[in-house]
Amino acid sequence: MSDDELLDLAPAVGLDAVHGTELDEVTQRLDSASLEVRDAFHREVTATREAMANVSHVTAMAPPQTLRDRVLAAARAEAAAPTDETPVPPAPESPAESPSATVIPLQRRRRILYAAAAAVVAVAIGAIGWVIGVASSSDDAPTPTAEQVFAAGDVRSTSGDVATGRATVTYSPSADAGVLVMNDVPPPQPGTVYQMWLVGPTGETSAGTMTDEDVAPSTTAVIEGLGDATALAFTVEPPGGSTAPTGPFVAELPFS
Amino acid sequence: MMLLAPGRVREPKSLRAGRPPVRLIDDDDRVLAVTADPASEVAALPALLDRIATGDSEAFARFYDLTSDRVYGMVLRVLRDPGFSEETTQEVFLQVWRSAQAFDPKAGSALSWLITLAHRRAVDRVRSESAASRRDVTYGLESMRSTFDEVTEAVESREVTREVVGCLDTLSEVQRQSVDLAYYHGLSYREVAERLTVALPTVKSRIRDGLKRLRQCLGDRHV
Repeated sequence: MSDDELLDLAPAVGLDAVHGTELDEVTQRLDSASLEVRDAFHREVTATREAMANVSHVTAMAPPQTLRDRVLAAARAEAAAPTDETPVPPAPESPAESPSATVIPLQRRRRILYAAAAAVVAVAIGAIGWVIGVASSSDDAPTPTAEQVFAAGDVRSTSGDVATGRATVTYSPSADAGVLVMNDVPPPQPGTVYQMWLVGPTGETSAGTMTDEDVAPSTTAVIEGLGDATALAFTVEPPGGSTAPTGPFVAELPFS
Repeated sequence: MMLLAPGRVREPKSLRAGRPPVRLIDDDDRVLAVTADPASEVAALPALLDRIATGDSEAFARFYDLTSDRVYGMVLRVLRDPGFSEETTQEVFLQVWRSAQAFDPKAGSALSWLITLAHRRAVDRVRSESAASRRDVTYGLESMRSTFDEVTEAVESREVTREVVGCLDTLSEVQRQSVDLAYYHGLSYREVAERLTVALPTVKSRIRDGLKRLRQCLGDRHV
């Protein structure tokens, strides 16, 4: 490959349109090229990417609000549990991956979802001291529940307003569990609690309570044993909760 | 059974909802939204990345609010599936969260760094996971409308994007088609050549010359 041929390919490399062995070849060729050619190549690639970053302005589209909740919850969870302490399965993809890092070292390879999910568990166990009735809750190792949810093939989410805030449940029927994230939900009035209910064909089953102290601007909880529940509902109950809802649902998040 | 009472996280204020992106454009078929991003907001990205590198989750939330519609919109163009696109967008932002320190301002703009990450991921995904189904689509060229064309029609009257769209218009039809297939369909330039049944050097020069025009028109700005 001549210098000219190499430089000819730079815009295609900038568009991620050179793959596999050919990209390896380009990388190797680049390593042995003169500094001048290397610089010219990188300038071309960089300029191509700047141009497409400009173009991203006109294809912009707002993602669903639930995505924001999930991303911020996962990041928060990671902050609570450094990823280097988290066992991580290998990333599922990789075809054109490793060589491209050598061409333009703008990024580092990552394995994402699994580590994030495992860390959510760490939040549940570590930063919050409230797990009740889960077999592994007294173990040092985090429960695999949230990890299973995030890694499940059938993961989905549902969300709705709770008072002036927003609640999202990311859940998985196969993991039989969900991760609740509430943002900006106001705490219950003093002397009352929020109680969560799994609403199913045979009625409501309590999924736990939250006092005014439990409810922070951002609150996360793991809910297990979804079973055949069709929704997660919230009521206002006296301290300690009730065995069955005593008031109307103040919020209801349907499971599809 | 179930049963976990909820609790409080340690940094209660750090991840509160920020200002959502401003929606400017709604189209019947495809909802296009364009963030109003004055230069000052984009200029804030490198400083936000610095803060994110120190674990500042408030900066991360802000960064997400300023850029998520650009990332999601581009990824959606490539993957054409909202569910996959959300997953990929999430992966992209978690990558930002973890490796913000890898951003090198000398190597390009923060936005370009981000969009490059996102595009690489989207292309990896589209190539690895739907190779088979994509092949079916590959030869249905007649029914395919290019992303550039859709964008051009949807936003042509909007002042805020007129400049960029005007620049897309400086590309010839065949240049635009080649760039579009490579960038938004995740095809290699060789596959673009196959699909258009033209010689490899032709595709290379269409891409190269198309990018040249685009860059000249955009002035290689950092937007």
